[in-house]
Amino acid sequence: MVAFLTAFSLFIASFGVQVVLWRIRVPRNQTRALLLVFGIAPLVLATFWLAGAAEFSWPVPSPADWIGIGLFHAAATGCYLIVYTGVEEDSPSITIINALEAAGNAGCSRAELASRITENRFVRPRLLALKRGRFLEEAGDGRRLTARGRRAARTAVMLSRLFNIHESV
Amino acid sequence: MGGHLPLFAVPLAGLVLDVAAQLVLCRIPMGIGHVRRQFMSFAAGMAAVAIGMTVLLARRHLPGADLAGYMALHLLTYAFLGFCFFNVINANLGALRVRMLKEYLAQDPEPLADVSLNARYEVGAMLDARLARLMDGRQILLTDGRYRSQPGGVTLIAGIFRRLRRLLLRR
Repeated sequence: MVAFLTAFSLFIASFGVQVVLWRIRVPRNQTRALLLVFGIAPLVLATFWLAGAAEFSWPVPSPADWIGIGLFHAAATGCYLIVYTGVEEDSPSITIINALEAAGNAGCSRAELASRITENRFVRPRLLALKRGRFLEEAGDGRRLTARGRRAARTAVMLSRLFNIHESV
Repeated sequence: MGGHLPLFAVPLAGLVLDVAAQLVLCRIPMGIGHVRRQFMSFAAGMAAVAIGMTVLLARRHLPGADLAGYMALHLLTYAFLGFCFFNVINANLGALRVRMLKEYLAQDPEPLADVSLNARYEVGAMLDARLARLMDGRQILLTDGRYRSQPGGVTLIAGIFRRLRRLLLRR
């Protein structure tokens, strides 16, 4: 049980660190900041835990358990990063659900929903995020892929072929 | 340390099985969508992890609380890894960002004008596709020309996002 509780506590504590930092100031590049927080915070916290354990005889996971704890933390952080993209930016499906939830029993017509699904709300922020992440660069009256963007796009195409994915809008 | 090594390998083996099952399932014409296939391969991996953990833990003489702890740790690790894989596939299915990258790649090395990209991204079509998908998944209902939400997975996720946004971004 020590291994599970340690893994769970480290993740929750890392989230706590994020809440505190984000309340002070929301970072410009949130994904990178999240990686730093969830990468560094558990190492610092685990070091304090081990130091405290030597002093106060707290229960400590075995060395092999730390590998499992590390894997748990990495996997949970991956999930959280995915979930966080939905917090950082609106998704059309979530926007529709939020609008319908807010409308309650009255519901919404297509026209009312269409007023919320706009290019400025969905297309533009993603273009800016791709530029901020150095996947795209300005070129003339548009943009083109950077080397990083090309790698990411080719990986996406390769995965689509591998898993027989036919994209939808 | 050697005696504990196989435990953390179990969720990784489960993920390998999930990916392998998905590679097979996506090539078999079954008349079901990607999401259902993904649930099937995920479930196969989860079953393998549960069996693997049961076998490995049975060889150890551990107190009940430790057995439960190891089981929870490794089943959750697999669930998280599986969720990441699920999203890699789903991002390729419908994520705007991934789709945009593919649009730019199709044009590469020439730049793609914002006007051309916006023309390819007709928000009305995007809305109709999302509404159709949500209705297929019974997350929303259309009655008397008005859409209404239904309790379900997407509603739950939307609620989590709203709370996280309020907590972290204060909006």
